[in-house]
Amino acid sequence: MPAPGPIARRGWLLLALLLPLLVLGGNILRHQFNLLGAAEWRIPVSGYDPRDPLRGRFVRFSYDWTLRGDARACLDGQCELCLLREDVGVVAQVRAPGAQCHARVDVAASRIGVRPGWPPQFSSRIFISETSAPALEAQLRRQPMEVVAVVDRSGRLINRRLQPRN
Amino acid sequence: MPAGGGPKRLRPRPRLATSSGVSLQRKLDSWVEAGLLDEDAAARINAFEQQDRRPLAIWAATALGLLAVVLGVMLLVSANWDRIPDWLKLAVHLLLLAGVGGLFWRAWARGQLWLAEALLFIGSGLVLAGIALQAQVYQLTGPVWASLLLWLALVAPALLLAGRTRLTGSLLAILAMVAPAAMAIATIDAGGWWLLAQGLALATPLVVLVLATFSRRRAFRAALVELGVGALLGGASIVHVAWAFDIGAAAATDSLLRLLPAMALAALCLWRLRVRPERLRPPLPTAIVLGSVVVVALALVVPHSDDVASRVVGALLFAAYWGGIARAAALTGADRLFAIAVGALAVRIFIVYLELFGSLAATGAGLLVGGLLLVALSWGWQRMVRRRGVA
Repeated sequence: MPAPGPIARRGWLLLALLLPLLVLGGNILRHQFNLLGAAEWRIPVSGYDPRDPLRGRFVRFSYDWTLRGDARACLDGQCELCLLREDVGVVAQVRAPGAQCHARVDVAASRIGVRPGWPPQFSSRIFISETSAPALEAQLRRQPMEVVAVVDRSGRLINRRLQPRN
Repeated sequence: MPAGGGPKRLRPRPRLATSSGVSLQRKLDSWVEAGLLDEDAAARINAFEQQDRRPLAIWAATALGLLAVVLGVMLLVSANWDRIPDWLKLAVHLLLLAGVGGLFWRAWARGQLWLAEALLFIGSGLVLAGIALQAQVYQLTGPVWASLLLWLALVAPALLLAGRTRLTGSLLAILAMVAPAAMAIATIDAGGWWLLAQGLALATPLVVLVLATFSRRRAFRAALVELGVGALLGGASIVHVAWAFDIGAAAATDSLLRLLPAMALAALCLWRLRVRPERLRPPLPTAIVLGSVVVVALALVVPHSDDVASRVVGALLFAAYWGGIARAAALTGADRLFAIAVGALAVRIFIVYLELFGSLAATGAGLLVGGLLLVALSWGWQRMVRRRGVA
């Protein structure tokens, strides 16, 4: 096979240099598109695990929502939830196939861990910076907290920040 | 002999900058003083050695410095994570990546070798930082190997096309072997198509060797060859431990499926090394590539239990593998590889002392065979060195 000439080589190299920019930039566009018009949810949290030393400074917590429906399918992480705002607070209804839902949460895609029990515990985590970690840890110990999250078009529940519950 | 006899006052010569250069300078001075060499010849030797000198210490320091810069940037970003708006972090990262890419392009076009290499290295680090950044902004938690594979896919083309030194060659080789290996380890219990993916992942040292045969840049190619061969030798030696475990029929079948890609790649690798031997002249490719695949296949594909017979077979295969490599190294004059082979055998014999094959007789036989092989290799080594000295 003849070796590519200098111009062809420059062309390939330019493409190779653009590849990370295009892929990373494309990912941003895709995620931003999925987040367009996404409503914000304030979900109470409980039972946090302060650190996961292998994965940086993460806070692991459980969503303290009211669970409705048969959650057995969720134990292997393969169910979908439908978030609802009701008088009792945030309700997570186990979604029946084909049921209408405005805030559909795909448990697997959201990387939500499900701990067996009754009701099952739905756990997640959020990254916090080194500088804000001590204050947040103190808050988590002292007062009720909530996570501010959004549900994107693909059904991923994305945690944005932790804050004291009003 | 220096003209005029007797010790001669040496003219001051330009000193070499590196420690090995200083050592050579001292030797040349002492040879001139002893009358073994005249001063002009010493100067010519000095000049010749300087031309071909590889500034390993400078490369190592540069690589460490660049790594520290990349890590430092990543840690600074992490430490102030929630004080910076997401859009700003993502935008600054893309701008940095584009800026480094632009600077690299200019340095590459101008032939500024080390600047281009450093920028390529930093750019590769920035790509990984970008993957981590997006994972944190969009909560993309997932297995580490997925991020490493994405990193490999995004930076490998640029490294392959523009990498010219051991710095970028080593980065590509390590990344190409570590990312798939991480995937294979994380998915080791998965069956089906995963078995082929795992096999492909474990055979990446062969891919690295094949890539080396296509590269026309000497130092870059040398890094690929050295790391690829090192991974093959190390991997085959570690897999030898499997003889001390129970391998059932089901596990052996899974391993056979995993080895299919490795066998195909070994054939491709042997063919490419025949076309472009690089530094692996025959019969080294056969001993290293075929020997490694055969040793791994026997350890993982032949069902066996953890008993004395299996361990003895394993030890003998290890000895045969490294003995074959030592022979090939001796035939091709690869002194360093020969020394490594003798060292590997010596270490294995030392392990026999600790291992105890179940009975005194079996242990004694193991030590006897291993010891004789080591003595034979040492004798061969001495002969090789003597022959080289005569030549």
